[in-house]
Amino acid sequence: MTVPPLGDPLRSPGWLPIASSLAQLAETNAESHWPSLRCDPAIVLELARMGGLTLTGVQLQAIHHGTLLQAFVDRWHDPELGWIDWRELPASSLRSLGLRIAAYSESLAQRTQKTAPESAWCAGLLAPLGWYALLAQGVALFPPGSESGYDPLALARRWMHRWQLPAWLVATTGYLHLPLDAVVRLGGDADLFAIVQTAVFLAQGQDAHLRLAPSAEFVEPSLRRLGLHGGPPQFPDVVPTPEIPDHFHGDPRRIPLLFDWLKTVGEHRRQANLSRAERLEREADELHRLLLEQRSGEALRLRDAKLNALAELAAGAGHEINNPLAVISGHSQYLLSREECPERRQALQAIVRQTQRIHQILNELMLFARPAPPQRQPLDLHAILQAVLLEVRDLADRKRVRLEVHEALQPIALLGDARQIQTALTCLVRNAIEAATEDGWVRIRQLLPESNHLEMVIEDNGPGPEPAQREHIFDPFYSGRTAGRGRGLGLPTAWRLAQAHGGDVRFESLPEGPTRFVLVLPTVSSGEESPIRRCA
Amino acid sequence: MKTVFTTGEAAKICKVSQQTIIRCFDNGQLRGFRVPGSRFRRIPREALYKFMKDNGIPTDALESGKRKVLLVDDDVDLVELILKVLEEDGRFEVRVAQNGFDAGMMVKEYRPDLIILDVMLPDINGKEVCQRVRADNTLEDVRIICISGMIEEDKIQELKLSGADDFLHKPFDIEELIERMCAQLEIEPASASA
Repeated sequence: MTVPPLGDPLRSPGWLPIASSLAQLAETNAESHWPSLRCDPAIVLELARMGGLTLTGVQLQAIHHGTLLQAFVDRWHDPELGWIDWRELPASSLRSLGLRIAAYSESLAQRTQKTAPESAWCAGLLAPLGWYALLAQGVALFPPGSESGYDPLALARRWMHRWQLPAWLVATTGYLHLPLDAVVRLGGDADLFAIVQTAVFLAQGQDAHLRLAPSAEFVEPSLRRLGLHGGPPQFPDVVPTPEIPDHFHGDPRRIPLLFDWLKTVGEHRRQANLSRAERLEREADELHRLLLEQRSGEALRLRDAKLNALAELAAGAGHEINNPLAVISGHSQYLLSREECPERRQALQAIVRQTQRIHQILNELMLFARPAPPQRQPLDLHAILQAVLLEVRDLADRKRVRLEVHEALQPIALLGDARQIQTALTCLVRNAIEAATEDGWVRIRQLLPESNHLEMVIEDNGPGPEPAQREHIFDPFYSGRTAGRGRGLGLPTAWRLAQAHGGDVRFESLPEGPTRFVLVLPTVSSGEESPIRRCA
Repeated sequence: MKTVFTTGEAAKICKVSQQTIIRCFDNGQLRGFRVPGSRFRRIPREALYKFMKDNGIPTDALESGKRKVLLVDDDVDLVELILKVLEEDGRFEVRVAQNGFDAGMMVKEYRPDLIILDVMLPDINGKEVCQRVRADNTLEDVRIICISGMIEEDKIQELKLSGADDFLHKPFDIEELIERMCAQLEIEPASASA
């Protein structure tokens, strides 16, 4: 037995499938032709090269997307690309042998349920791979009157290594003459190997001269592995072999216009693949979005749980704390009403004031944790702004902060809870005044509504929040707050009330610029009837 | 003791409508005078007493001249304070119930003009007390002011729906409590003794 040098014959880029297979590959539903395509060793080999053949079955994407067809089109004019005339001897007998091994393998896989039948079929069909390769090179396998000197298994191994086929397939098809345990050590899959080896052994019959099967004693472990101690099953000697249609007989490269047609189809498929790539990217984007949504959904659930816990606490604590506060405050008020000493009066007044402050803190906590559902009514933004200014005027005067208000001239149709919007706005303006520098300014601007929302911009000349604190600025649970802006529940409350209205509060980072918060409120959409317009 | 009454106060004491008092005043059945420089009617105590005797109206309300208040709260310190303040005010006669059950009993028996009701009682909830009072036709005129340390806006709304006339958050301004009481009883806010 000789192994030809790994020169020219094995530089081979493979061989072309039969013309009818190519025609089937060119169809839109190429994969639906798999039952006949899988009888063509060129197709199965190419699919294995493309990674479509695995131990658990076959994947037909390469056929479906046209990449398999494209591989042949690309190699079409390669002078080394072979072709096998399967109707001529010895190719015809090799073909029927290959199909017999494939059928037996598939049947054994089905009986033993040890491996995927499709995988077994494919591996079985490729068992005579070494012979196929030689045929494709036009080598005379068996010169008349002599036995072939080639070692088909060695050829197959080299071939498969070159084409970087998976190790389990190389071990199965390349070491058929070895016993099972040896092949497993070489990376073979015990079950698949046992199946294919048994199938080859049973199928070889009169083709013993092809020297694919091992000696009977080496097959023994495979039979045991398959639980066939009582002797191998009886398989028919002849398995149905698909006919090769006459008009598809012959080298496909000689069929006029076939190449042009396949090339056009290939290009078309490539285009389709491009759009498919886009679709895949979109799908990936969508998955990414869903993942994010799920993640943020979890974050939302966590936040809601925290808010609920806070609301429970505030409600419980509210009652427990307000009752003693009422006693403290009440008695102080009583004493105050009959106290004349100015010093003591002052002290008593402070007690009353501070109890009120504690009460207020509890209320704010509740307002943040569980604001009442907004009572939506047409809003008079001008009146709300005036009320806000009235509320913060004292604080602004004390800090000598200038308040500038720029209102939109046209009335804006806005639905909302006037008290809550006023509270939200007051929180933001108060926060701005507190953060503004002494003798600084706070500017409140009402922008004209865009699409379906209105923005109120609150700016101040104070330093903005530290970058590390920005993402926590609306989070009342964030404990890393230092002194200055964003202490207390003002910003979180504004944010919460805006959210309850379907709006938002955001911080806009302006390098070098003023510190800017934006209150976003949804306007009455054009679909709804504006109550304000109705009133007008 | 209060010596002069407005028509509204007289109506309350006699448990008739203010219109009736005005009609009797105008037709001379009920004697009184008009505030100089205005058309406001005033009724001296003796005139009102005679009017009530003449018409067979029980005079016990006039005899004390005080409005009856039932204070329901389990916080002894707060009860003590409110008692002291209302006593000093002089216009109110006050009894105290420390739980919902006692409150229910006393409403029937004492027939107060006004209940100051803490919402969170050791036994039954203030909301239930409100509902029970409102379910009784003979207690229609009883006014209820709830006081509570609770801060949930929706629960406060619920309370108002179950029949409370007013609500005051704890801690509260004592003067405000008295003002609200006067408003409910339709008496002049400033204390007579003040």
